[in-house]
Amino acid sequence: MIYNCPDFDGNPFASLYLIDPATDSTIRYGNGLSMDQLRGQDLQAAFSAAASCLEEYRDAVNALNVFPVPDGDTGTNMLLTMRSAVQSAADACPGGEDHSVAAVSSALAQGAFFGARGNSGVILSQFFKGFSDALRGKDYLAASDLALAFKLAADCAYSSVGNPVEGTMLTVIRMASEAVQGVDDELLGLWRTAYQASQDALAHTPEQLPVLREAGVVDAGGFGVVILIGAALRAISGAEASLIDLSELGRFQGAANNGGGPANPGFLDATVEEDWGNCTQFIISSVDGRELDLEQVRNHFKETALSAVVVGDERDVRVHIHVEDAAPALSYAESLGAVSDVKIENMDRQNERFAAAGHGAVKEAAALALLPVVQGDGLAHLFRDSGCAGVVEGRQTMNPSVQQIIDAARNTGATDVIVLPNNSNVVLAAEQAAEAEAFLHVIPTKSVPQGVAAMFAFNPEGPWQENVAAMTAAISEIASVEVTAAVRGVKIGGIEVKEGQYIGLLEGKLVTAEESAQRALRTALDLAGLSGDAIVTIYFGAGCSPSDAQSVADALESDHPGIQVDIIDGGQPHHQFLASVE
Amino acid sequence: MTVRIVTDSSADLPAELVQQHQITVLPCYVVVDDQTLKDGVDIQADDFYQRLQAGGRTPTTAQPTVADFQAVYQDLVSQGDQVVSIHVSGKLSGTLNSAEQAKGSLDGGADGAPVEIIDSRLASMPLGLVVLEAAELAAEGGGYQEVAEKIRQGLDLHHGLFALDTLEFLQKGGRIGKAQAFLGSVLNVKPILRLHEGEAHPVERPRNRERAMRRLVFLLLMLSGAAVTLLALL
Repeated sequence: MIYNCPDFDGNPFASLYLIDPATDSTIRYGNGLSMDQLRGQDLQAAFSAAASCLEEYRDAVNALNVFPVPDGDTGTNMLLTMRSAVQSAADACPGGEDHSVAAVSSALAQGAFFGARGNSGVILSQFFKGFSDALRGKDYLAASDLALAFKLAADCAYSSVGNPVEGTMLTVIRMASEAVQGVDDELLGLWRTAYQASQDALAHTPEQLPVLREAGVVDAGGFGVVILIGAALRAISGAEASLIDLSELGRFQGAANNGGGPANPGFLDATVEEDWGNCTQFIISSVDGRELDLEQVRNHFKETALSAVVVGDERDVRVHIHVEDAAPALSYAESLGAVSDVKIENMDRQNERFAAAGHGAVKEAAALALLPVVQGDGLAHLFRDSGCAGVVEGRQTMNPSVQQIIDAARNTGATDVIVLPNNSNVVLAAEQAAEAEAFLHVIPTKSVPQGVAAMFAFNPEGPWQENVAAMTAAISEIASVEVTAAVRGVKIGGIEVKEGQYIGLLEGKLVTAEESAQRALRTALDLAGLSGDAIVTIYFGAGCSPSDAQSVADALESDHPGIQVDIIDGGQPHHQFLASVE
Repeated sequence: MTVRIVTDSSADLPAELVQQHQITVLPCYVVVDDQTLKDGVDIQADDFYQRLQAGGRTPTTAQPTVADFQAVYQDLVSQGDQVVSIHVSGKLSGTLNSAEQAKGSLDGGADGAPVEIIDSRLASMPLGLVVLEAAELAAEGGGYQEVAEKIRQGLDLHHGLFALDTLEFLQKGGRIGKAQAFLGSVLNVKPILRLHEGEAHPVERPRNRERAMRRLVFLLLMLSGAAVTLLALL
């Protein structure tokens, strides 16, 4: 039965109804199908409803950010990814007809993949990929299929990030999956179990990630997953489903009460950071009809490589690993099938190649373009002026979709394109784009200053492999500073922030809260350490004037004779200042 | 019979070395404020850079004329000497054209005169180092053709790597080549370029002069590897 709860007026969750786990819900559809079998269109309706529900609670999800910074949006990113998934399913599987769950889930996965925005969107898209893999060839989704669908969804989600961290949406997905493994129940019962498990997992995320506990929030992406699983459950429960108010979930609202984005830096740092090692890429193709075992390949490289991304199917497997020595990896690959497209990056070999290029011995470099993701006219101008073939402008949201990155890269017309995400929350989407398109390569720049440093190490004539190595080395030589106005009060790492104060972040970590943006900039720069011959670059934006930047520059130069301070009109919307020290 | 080495003033060779190795240096021309001056004779490098920075009309340069080359070649050949004439990259200057035309006008014409002309595909001190090498080969004996052949074979071993304060003058002078990719004015970088196949190519963009010098040394060491390196830092 439905509980209407007038008490919850004004509560952002008051109108979200989900299912009472205690209520029995044996349902029969008019067409005689048992509730224990979902048709494609039922699945489509379920995730369509999930997208609508996420839309309603987008701000609530956005509010669960750790740092009170105004850019980035987990809720928005997940919503846009869901919309792309649902639209793709609607295009592939028109209403009023019967569709297989295989067709619908495959279209959902396809749409999510190319529409993925932000790290949460990428992980969500991998959830759909796994879900769809499990339903390949299936007309109906039966209770017996659900365990595998959730399992593969969780596995895919985990494999999409280099270094999975618990206490994030990954954990929520995995716990939901584990709850339904080996359980004998009907479909709705299983789904309800998964939903319950996802809530429990979400509630425990602050215990797993100290940064969440400190900020007094649960993981934003995890909350999005709970909403999606719950809303889909409500949709497939049909008319007779008993619903309860979601007010219970109000506890997840935690300390966050308004504003901002996800930019869950502890999580991002932990998931995106990879040991660079020597980058080795190749494709294994099956020969003589011998099918490849993706899981086996992935496990092998997980154990033997510093980091591994392994994607593909039983015919072709693309491997991207970082290893000390590529030889054992390649001989393993050759034992499985035909190995092609081998690319190995190695400093010694690069030096040889560079020397060889000086001799004119190597062939003319293919056209190579640089594609930065930027927000702000001044920054767009800086990157274009410095020779970038185009820019991806994150206007509405800071985070472009995978498809937008691919389209912008194609527009450059270059044979190879190196993408600079310039934001920790764009790195995964850029990497997903690079996985879809072999001509794309990513330097994982987490900030604009890192992107600028990488750009100046770029040599348009060098092979992309050599550039990736040089540019990646360049970003480790600078420290990035961001200054923004806090959208709420919070206490993190012993630093108390009041709403409206200016906070300074150094390398993505909160280091100071001050009454003025200039003060925050100066403190963060001092903490970055200014050696005698340091170069400081200040990009002013968000309502700041050149003289605001100049006054900080003058003070720095007078306190540290010998350093160089450059000032750029960045025009970035959310940050009063971005800065770098090198 | 002696093999004599001829080059042009773009080789930036110090006067002592020129004298010591009896190298003939043809001055290029510098046109400043409607005056045509001989590089290294009427105007020295420091003076030139000062005028460049002073603003006003940008000074321009011009190659030595055919007549200049004729005079030098004729003088040397008439003394019974042979000539190896090594010059700035043909992609950066018309100097080689002047030299070729002058040779063609000598007695015996293009095929008969004992003159070998070499496109160094380099400029400045990298060219200067090649010229010094040629002078040493000439001193060891051997005909002009033998010296020229050895120099041509060794040219690939020479790398011209250089850092600039600005690309402005390379661009204005039409010598920017592939370094075009590094044009840009928002941040004042000090681009490092290299000479490859006779023209400027981009390498990387350090943020200031100190970094540029540091990177230059690093890149030179990287390029040279274990080989013995002749380093000329100007």
